[in-house]
Amino acid sequence: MLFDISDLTKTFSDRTVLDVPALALKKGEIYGLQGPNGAGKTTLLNILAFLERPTAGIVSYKSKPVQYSEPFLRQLRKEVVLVDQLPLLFTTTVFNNMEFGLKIRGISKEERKRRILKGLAMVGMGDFVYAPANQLSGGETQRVALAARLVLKPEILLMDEPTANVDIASAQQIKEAALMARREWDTTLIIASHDRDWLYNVCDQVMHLFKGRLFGTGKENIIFGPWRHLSGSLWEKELPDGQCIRLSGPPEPGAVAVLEPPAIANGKDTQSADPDAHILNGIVSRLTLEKNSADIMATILIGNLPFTLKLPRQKIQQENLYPGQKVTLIYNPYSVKWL
Amino acid sequence: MDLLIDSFISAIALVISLDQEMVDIVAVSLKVSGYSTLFAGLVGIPLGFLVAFESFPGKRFVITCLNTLLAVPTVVIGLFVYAFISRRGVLGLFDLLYTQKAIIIGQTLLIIPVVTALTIAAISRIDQRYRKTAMTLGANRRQTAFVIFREARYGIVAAVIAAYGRVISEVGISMMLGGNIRGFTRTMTTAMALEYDKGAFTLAVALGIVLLGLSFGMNLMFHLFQGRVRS
Repeated sequence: MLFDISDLTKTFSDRTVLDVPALALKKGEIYGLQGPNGAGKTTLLNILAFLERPTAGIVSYKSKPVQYSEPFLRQLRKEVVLVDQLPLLFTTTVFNNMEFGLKIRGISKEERKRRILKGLAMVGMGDFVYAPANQLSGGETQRVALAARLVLKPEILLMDEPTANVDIASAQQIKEAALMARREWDTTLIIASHDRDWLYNVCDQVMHLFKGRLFGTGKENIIFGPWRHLSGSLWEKELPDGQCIRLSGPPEPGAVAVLEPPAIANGKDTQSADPDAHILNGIVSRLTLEKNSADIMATILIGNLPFTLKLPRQKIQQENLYPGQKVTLIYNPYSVKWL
Repeated sequence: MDLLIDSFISAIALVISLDQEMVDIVAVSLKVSGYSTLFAGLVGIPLGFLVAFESFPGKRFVITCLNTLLAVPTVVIGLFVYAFISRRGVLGLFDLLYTQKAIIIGQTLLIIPVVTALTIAAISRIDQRYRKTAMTLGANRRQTAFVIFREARYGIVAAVIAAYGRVISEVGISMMLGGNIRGFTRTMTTAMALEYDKGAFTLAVALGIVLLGLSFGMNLMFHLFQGRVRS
């Protein structure tokens, strides 16, 4: 195991922003991290990058507990690097920015130059070697920042929303360069991103982080309140198209519901024997091939709420599902977890 | 009005002709202010950097004290240093009173808080992500500090220029500790005060023109560096 984390918490002013009872990350894998803003993704990445220390818990790296002393951390930071969501480049040339980490690692001048030219070529910035870094666009800055990490041949590359603030072309080059690092140097990638399709395409495992807690595989459907009491234990939320999602017993009207994919089936299976089942009508908006399986992730829009279903490819063919097609979903209002 | 116009015309002629007495006075001013800025920079820049870069208990109190010291009148510093270097003072045996060294000591004390406070402001303006970037690339504390210093370089130069502007135009310390001795400790400001007392405005106005010219040049540099900070 590269990382083995147990009972990790991080608090800021008595507010717990991260609470991870257990997490194990293997070498050479690609991990995805999903979650809304403020879920704790950046804090988790900072802890994994040894830039922040947890308030409590044990973080083991390569089977050794991490000691939070500066000389120890500095050695670890030479193996684990982070690309920020909005990275900064030093106010000097692109070359000098790229050279910074290499110099620290005592790489020879010739080797530095060779790696810099290769790194910039990997992200399509080969023509900007001696350009002033503060004159680059947001996408170019992101690409150079990534290249400056890639030339270090890191064991682990952490990326915080690497494609959130860049154009499509830059995003594509960033994605390709990250995967190339994995292929060439067996770099472990941990990617926090809102780009669900990309994560499912490339990641060996996608984790979901919400309110500082890791859960599930990232394929769960999260439904925010407010909830309105209906009858008995049932509460409902009205969607913009007039349909209502009914679920059992939220702890409070503003609670957040988590519906797991198995609780949702294609509407044509409404003959299933579940008497508690409820029905919703939606439209297929996206079909994404999941990595390492023959399964397809289908995104169904109900009102403006995206629901995710994991379906075998065979099922997609049988039902002749395609984006734009109307479908009926069935779910059990009692198969819900509350956050 | 005629007096002012006549003095101004004569002063311009004095400046153009590079009058020897005026040149000597300007040279003394530039020399003592230059040294005091140099020494204040050697103390104030590292001190400001340490205060801004490190976290320690009472940091805000230290910054408040430094900001308070920015407003200390020059005559208070003059009096304070006088108590040390006068014959009866602790440092009386060094015979520093009414020398250029005495002015340099006083002026250095005057602008150390200026350099320190403005260095703190310059460092504090630097985006925290520079520190994070340096650390994730493997930099140790010294290398990270160097990165921050390099990013703040224009702000720090602006701090030094502002401090130089403060000392070259002060009069209290130069008068009290230098004694306004002709050709030795007479600075532009003390000479102007003396010429005013004598009712001879020509040299005073000429020195005023030079002083304003120097101040303008320094402000120009200050804004140039501040502009680079913002960009």
